[in-house]
Amino acid sequence: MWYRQILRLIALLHDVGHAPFSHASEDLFIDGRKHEDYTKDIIEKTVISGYINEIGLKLHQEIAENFNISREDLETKYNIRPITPQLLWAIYGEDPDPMMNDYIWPDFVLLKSFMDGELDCDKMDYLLRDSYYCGVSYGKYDLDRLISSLTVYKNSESKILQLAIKSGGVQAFEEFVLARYFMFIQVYFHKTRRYFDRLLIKALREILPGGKYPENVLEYLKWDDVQIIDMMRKCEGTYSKEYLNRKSMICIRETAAHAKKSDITSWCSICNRINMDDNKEVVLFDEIDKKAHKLIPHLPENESGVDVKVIDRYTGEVRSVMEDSRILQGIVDKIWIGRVYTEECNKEEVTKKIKYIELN
Amino acid sequence: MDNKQNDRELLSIIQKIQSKCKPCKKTVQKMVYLIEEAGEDLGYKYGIHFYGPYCPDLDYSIQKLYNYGDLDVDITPYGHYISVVSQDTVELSDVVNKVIDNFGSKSASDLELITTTLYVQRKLESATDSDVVEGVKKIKGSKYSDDQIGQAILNLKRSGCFAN
Repeated sequence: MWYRQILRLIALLHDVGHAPFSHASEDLFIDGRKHEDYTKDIIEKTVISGYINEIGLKLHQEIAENFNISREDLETKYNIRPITPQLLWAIYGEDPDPMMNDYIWPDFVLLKSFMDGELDCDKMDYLLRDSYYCGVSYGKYDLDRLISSLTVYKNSESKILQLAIKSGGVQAFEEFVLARYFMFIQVYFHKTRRYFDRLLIKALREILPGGKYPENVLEYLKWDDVQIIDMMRKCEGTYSKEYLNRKSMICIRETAAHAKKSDITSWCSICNRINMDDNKEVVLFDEIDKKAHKLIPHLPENESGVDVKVIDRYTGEVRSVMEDSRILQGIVDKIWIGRVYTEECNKEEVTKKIKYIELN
Repeated sequence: MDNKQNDRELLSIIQKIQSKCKPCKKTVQKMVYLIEEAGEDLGYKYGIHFYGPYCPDLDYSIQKLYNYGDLDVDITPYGHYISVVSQDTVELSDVVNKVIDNFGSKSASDLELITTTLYVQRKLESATDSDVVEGVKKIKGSKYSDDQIGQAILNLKRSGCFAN
């Protein structure tokens, strides 16, 4: 009951610190701040903090009544404390600190992994939601089968507790990882979407005071998608206008989704040569470098690293999903895409130039 | 320190460990933790994982050096064994040499215990040895005996690498 409420709260709160338009505008945070820093401030310093304390206290009383023990005993004998913003942050926001009194090891590590592992419910959620709103099928997978395949790998001797899948769920997991892989290549890394991320940042620099999001959390919260669109409408800046009018540069070249070393080398030389000339204003380069998944092939027993365990349904034997899945082994190479954009009117000139560079 | 210089130092560290044992990724993870804690700043930030202190950035660096051909990684079910290919190495500091001389020939499992013990010592300020034993058991369960943990504490003390 207590863990379930913690998990629910973490799930609800883990992304509240995101800037408008999510990851796109993170470049505009003040020196090195991350969206997680705002999450911490939001759960600790805004009205949300009061709500969490209230929920935490109420649940604590309920548990004490249900089990007919005093709240003091609940804390001292069972280590079940009222949920507070600080406890949630210790579980989700920071590296696990097993030496902290309130930190329950390895249980809290397991709770956190629901949010940031290769099997996390954040991915399960955004893939389906983004597919739906973008009108594509790439991100769909068998959610029910995946959830019913979930289990926990437990080694009490060495205190390990990890989300795992039953052996019958390997294909559901493969489909899930592939869904993410397809969504990245087709949607998140789509040439026009990537371009508008860049343009959005330039437009935001025109409207944000000092070109950055405010550090103070209450000021920061005033900036939401609607506020930004509204400010862009009132702004005379070139980029805001281009953004609202959907004026895009066009992509004239791209590498394969898994560019080979030789492709990357020749792509870099094109970038360098063009940058040496005076074409900087009219040509834009974009590079994408991302792993399809972070699973490590043949991760040995007793070694840390990103892994999902499969529990054999007959023998209970534990192995790595990478051993069972040829498909996941096949996409360990990273995604690397390079693109060249230019204005419509310069298309021919720049294309010619690239061809010239390639021939020489 | 710039990245290149850092990579060179990492390669040199692995090369030196190779003179003591056949290092796998886990050996390197734990040795670099000890080196960082002994006061050599390589810029790797560690958290605690199920198998002791671990730094994802270090794993990334190893992968990168493998991609560049500076390292060879032999993937076996018993460990991902690492060997240095590059000749581009640097002179190691006294701190680094001392750590590797003291701990370089330990097994990966011993290093898991030693680094976890050091992690607990660092987290608990002015703790007695029995506090540390309890702390290690909180993380490791019954994987290591009290005697083994006591031995790890002694090893750390005797090495003289870590200010208490």
